[in-house]
Amino acid sequence: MGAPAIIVEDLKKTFLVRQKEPGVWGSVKALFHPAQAQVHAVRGVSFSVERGEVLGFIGPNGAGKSTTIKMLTGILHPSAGDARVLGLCPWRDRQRLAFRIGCVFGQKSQLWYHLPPADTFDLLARIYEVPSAQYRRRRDWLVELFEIGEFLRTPVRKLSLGQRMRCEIAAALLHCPQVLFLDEPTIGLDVIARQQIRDLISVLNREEGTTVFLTSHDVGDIERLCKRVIIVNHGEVVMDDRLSTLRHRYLRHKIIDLKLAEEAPPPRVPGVEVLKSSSYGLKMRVDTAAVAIEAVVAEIMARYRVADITITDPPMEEIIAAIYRESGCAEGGGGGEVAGHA
Amino acid sequence: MRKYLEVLRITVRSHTVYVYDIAFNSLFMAVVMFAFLQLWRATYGGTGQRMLGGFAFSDMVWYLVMTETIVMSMPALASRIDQEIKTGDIAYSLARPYSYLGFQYAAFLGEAAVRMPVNYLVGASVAWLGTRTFPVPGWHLLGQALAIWLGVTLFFLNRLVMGLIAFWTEETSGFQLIYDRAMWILGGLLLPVELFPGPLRGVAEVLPFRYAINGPARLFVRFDVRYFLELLEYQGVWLAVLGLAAHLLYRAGMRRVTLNGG
Repeated sequence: MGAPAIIVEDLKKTFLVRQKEPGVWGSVKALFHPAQAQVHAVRGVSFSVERGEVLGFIGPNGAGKSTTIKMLTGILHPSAGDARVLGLCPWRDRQRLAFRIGCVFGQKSQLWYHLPPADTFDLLARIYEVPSAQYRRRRDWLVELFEIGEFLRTPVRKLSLGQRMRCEIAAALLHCPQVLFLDEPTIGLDVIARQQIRDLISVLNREEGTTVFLTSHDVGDIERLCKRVIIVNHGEVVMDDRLSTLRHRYLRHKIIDLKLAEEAPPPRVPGVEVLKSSSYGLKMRVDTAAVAIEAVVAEIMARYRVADITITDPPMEEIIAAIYRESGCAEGGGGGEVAGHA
Repeated sequence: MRKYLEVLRITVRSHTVYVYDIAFNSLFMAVVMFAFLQLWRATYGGTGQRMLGGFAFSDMVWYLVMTETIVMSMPALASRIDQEIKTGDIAYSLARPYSYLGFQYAAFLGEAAVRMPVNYLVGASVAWLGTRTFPVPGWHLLGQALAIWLGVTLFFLNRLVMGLIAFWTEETSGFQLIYDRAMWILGGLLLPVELFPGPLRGVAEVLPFRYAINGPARLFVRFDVRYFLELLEYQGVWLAVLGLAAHLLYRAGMRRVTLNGG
């Protein structure tokens, strides 16, 4: 195995943010004595990502995920520390690196809104200087893989969010990047669209050996895609381990939210704890180490007339709290922590 | 270079989608043209002069067609950049292998290229109905086109500089409002700079605005090689000055973005 695709050493990012007291007087005061506060978004993270690896970089909102990805793509300069992506320093060799990486920022579209995705593809091929014949081959392959042929000529504004995201990822892959940065690619998508995106990333990694750096606050993304996961909170790495460890230690239960079509008593199944019960609703915690989720769902479907069912993983905050509990530390209060000075 | 041509091409396509919308908006131009046509007719009639500041009545009307076409076709670049800076979206351009300023220039030209013919068509129709004249294009068409292109580029740089100020002020709509009005008045949008009273003309001469509006429009109605060469010279100087200003502002602003996230 060659050198890692990504090496990060003690990377830090501190922002200076303007502060203003509330009210009109606060605004006047801020004009003459502007106060600034330091926000420690990333507080010394270190890790490496092997070539061909799919790494899940997860954490709650404000944990420092996007700031880290922005430093690794050269958009932000770090306050301290070092990083290498494909042997290049992202913020110094930004333009050279841009040809070798692909980026999808879930909340920032690169598709031209009023035009079909095909037009943006043509533009990106030119911007990334992909030779015409190679571009056509690559585009056709991606269109087939992502199953976007039927709406390739439909204006982006008329596409669903899921269709748009498939096009976004395909667009980011036109120039055959060796590393793909995906910042919250499944945000706002429904269950089916989310699953499609996960499958595509998985296929891509398998077929092309593309290194994938995936940020998400959805544990489900990570469970289906990654072998290794880094959890960040308040700008610090709180866990860097194999997914199996995360699953074994902290993803031992799922939450089932049930809406019933008729009144019924709560079930008595070993490993299932009823958290909340009302006439037509049940919320249960399933210990997946004691009973398989499929078995519980089968039991529910057999016993009840179900109007709606939702199965979710424990929220990220709960996992992080469990990690802190296990390590015997109080929850760190760094990220987003504000140190004010005038 | 080819990537910027592709940006221009895709911008043209993107704005062609709304060509009817642009055509509808250009009806405002018809109203303005009609009002000024009547005004100038009354002025020429009232003074009894055949020429004012070297412009015959029909020249004056066609001068207005060109100044209005230029001004009304310029994309709202400053507010777009202002918005990109405020939302932090401008930072994402750093992750792409192109020059942000080059991209914006190509997109600006692309949008102007869709708007200008539509606006010109509307303005020219009113002018023809009012004067029954039409400036016949000749060998000097290339020179006129060059002067207009450089004028549009000056417009681009003016609006770019305005937008980039948002790196420091966050909000530029107030500046834009004043700057645009100053540009229109001192650039000779409604009244040729040649007709300005002495001191005001002196101010207009030392500012870049007239080389974006008045100069190309004057050449459009009456081509003169000497004036053309003089105009190119001034346009070149202001392009260099504003280009450098935009480059420095962009560099300093992006430094703030990469260091402090905008």
